[in-house]
Amino acid sequence: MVVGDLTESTEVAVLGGGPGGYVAAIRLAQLGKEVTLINDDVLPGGVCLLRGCIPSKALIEAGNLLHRIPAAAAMGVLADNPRVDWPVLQKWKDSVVQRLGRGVEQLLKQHKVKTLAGRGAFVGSHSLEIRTESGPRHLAFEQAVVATGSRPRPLPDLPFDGEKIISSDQALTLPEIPPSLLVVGGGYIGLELGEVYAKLGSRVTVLEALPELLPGTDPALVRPVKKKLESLGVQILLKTQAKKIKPADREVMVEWTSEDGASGQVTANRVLVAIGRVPNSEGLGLGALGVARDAKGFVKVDARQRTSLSHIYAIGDVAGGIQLAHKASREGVVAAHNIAGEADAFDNQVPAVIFTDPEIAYVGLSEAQAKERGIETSSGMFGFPANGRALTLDDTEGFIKVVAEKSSRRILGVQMVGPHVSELISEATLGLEMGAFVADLDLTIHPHPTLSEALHEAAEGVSGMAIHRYHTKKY
Amino acid sequence: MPKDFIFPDLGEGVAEGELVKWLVKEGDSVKEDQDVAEVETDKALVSIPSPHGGVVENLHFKEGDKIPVGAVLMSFRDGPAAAAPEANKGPESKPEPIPDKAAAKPSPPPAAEARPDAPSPSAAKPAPAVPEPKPVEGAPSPAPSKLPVLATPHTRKLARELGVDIETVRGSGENGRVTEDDVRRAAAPGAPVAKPSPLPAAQAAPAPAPAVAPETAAADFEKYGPVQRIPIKGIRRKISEHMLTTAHQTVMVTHIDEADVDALMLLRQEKKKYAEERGVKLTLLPFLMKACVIALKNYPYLNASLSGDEIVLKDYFHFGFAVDTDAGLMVPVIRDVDQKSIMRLATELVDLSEQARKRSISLEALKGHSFSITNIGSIGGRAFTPILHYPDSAILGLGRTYQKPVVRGGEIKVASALPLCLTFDHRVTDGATAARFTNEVIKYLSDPDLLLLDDGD
Repeated sequence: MVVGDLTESTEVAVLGGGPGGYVAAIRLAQLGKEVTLINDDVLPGGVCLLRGCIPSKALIEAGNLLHRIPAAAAMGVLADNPRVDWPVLQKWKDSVVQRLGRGVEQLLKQHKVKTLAGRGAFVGSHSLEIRTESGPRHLAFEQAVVATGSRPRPLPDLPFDGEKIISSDQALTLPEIPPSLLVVGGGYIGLELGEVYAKLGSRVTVLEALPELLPGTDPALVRPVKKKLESLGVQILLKTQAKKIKPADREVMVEWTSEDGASGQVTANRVLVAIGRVPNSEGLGLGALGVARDAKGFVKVDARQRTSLSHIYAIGDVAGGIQLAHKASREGVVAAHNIAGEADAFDNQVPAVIFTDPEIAYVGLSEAQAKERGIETSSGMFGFPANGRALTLDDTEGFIKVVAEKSSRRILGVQMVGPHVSELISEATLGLEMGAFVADLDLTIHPHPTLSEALHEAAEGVSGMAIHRYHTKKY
Repeated sequence: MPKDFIFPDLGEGVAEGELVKWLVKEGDSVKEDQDVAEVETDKALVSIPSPHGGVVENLHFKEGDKIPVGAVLMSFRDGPAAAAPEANKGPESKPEPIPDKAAAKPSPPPAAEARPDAPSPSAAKPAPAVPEPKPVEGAPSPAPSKLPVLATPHTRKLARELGVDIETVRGSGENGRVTEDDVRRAAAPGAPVAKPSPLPAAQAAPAPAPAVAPETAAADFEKYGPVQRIPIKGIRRKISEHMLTTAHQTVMVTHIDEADVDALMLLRQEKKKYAEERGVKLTLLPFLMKACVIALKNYPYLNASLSGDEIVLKDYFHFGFAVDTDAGLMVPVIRDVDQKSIMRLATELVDLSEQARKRSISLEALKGHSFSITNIGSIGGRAFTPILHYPDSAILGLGRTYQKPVVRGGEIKVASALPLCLTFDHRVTDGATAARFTNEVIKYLSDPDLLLLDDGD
């Protein structure tokens, strides 16, 4: 040991300050643990708060507003020449991020969570080395939570340059609205960002290798989104891969070929590569310590979030599973509870939300997934065009579908596409967690006039008895 | 495509069955119509034949599980049965039934799940590889056919706290919902572990010393000495549930009296040979049934049920009678006692008892009772308090006939006395009715010739 190389100690070390890590840290502190949070970002909040959910939603909201203003003429609301002041929008977005990040920082302080700015790596089963600006520091811990998240996956042989070949990180902080944008990858990140720029005036092309946009999502939910993208002039190329990407002076030239044998080329000012995310599990000393990872590098965990070393936990993106902030947060709580000696395990339904236009949200099983498992289903569907509130919002695209087990009428899943469904999915999620049956939704009063009535009527529709719909099929 | 075998509807009103025993195991080759499992419904044991042949790929339930009608019981692998690697092992390719012992062996208490390590240096020991990592998104999951356990997050949390694997808990709620009580019951084998205080030690106020805590079902009996723990399953579980329902749903009073059965004993003795020649074993019970059915016609509130806001008086007279079997108490039902001769009743009593003991009795033969009789006298006992056969409003219990001194015509004589214990539901009727009914039964038992004269109308 070098003189001055002082070893500090803590009960629990949390690596990473995202929505998994900071939630775990706060809960641990609430349960009386002494916690040190090691974070190498400017603020706590992780990708979600700094380079993901929050800034993208800020931009999406602005894009939606701009897009809706001309449509408001039908309501008699007239505004001439609406346009975006990009630097102001960027500033506002940054202010939202700053405010939230500072808030989390404050909360960590109030909970007496020690924070260390730097990058940590395990150098022993109970010690971490943290590279800080002022040099390395050593931290002895009793338990650790690995919450280091994930990062955008680059195309093979084509690293992000931050200029022409950009990741979702950079797509949120572009110096200007690009006149043209090519999005490689039709998943939710690519579509959310692609659609914003289309609304803000970019000419957008989306390349997706699979036959459908938003792979893994019920195709019925994707249809209205695809229709909207097309109406915004987004060119969608499915079953298509980028063959060659050649950055030139001002533009990037992309040659593509499709499975059907077609090929062509697109030029764009920037190429957003959104083909997935890779776990941040290297350089942490996990291998030397014997923490098991899978072939893709995700840390293996059990339902209590314990890794193969029982005093080391992993949560969030780095631990695999669906890459969503709320899933990471719940896992952080599970880890914290277990460290504090409380029995907890991740046995949850994770709602998925996609902030496209219209929004998509779903939880539990789709009809197709239920069939795959050999479960016979009954389902009910209700469209927003028959929902009063949706009409007054002038936003009626989409529907809600409730899927139930045919024999028992237990709710298996709920799928939604339409206005504000990201807010509506929580009721369905609670229903699934509670083991609700269709009658539970059916016999619950939903306030009028609200969008939530569409969920109510979809539940009634399982028995063919939605009030505001004529069911041709008799049950 | 693998074929699934859906647990079939076993008859009217049966929503689920308890898997008692698998007769096949995974990898076995099964022929069409071959019995694959023994399932117990209400009180009958039924063998389930396979609707098709094939190689068993998965058995989706464990012995002791409750299987809802419509659930996938087992699945078959592709390909013809003959292709099975284990097929035709010997001359007889009958599947080897799992020995009874294994099925009867008490299973270990619900896996006391490892509690999280307390923060201590020993926690540093590398644990074995994590057993079941959650599947990573993108990788196609192996499509579990099961739905998540039907329980609220609150109940699931309680299960974790009590170290109960909730997946193995039998749900008593609607549609098999696992309730808080179910979890607490499942936790009984190990005392419930006190939840660790979330407060730091310094903040945790010392709790006031509790008075002596009442012993609960979850008590740690092992503290006081060695015990054996026998899981409640099969008929024992049915009986236990049924008794609890009866105790909760009725208000029971037992009226006790005795009948002088000298004349009846004499009659039975005289006619025993006549019956034997006709292959019938004549006991006191058919006479008693006849006496009861005539009396019941005069006291219909004892051949009744309370249902919601109504008392249902039954115009039929189906008698349940308790049979002690190896597996526990069973109550077969003799239908239309009023329309059957004593000889016929005697025959049915023997037949149904036999079926119950062999457990070949049909589910239907256990249903539809309107009144019941339980005879402990064959074993012994003077008086006892029978429990109603819910939802019946009355049950008559018989003690052991014994000799007692009686005064007749100013002289002390020896008489045979049959103790009668009538339990009735006091919500439905009152003690006076019970006493009058019993008096009438005694009248017929004391003077059995009257059975020829009266039919209760």
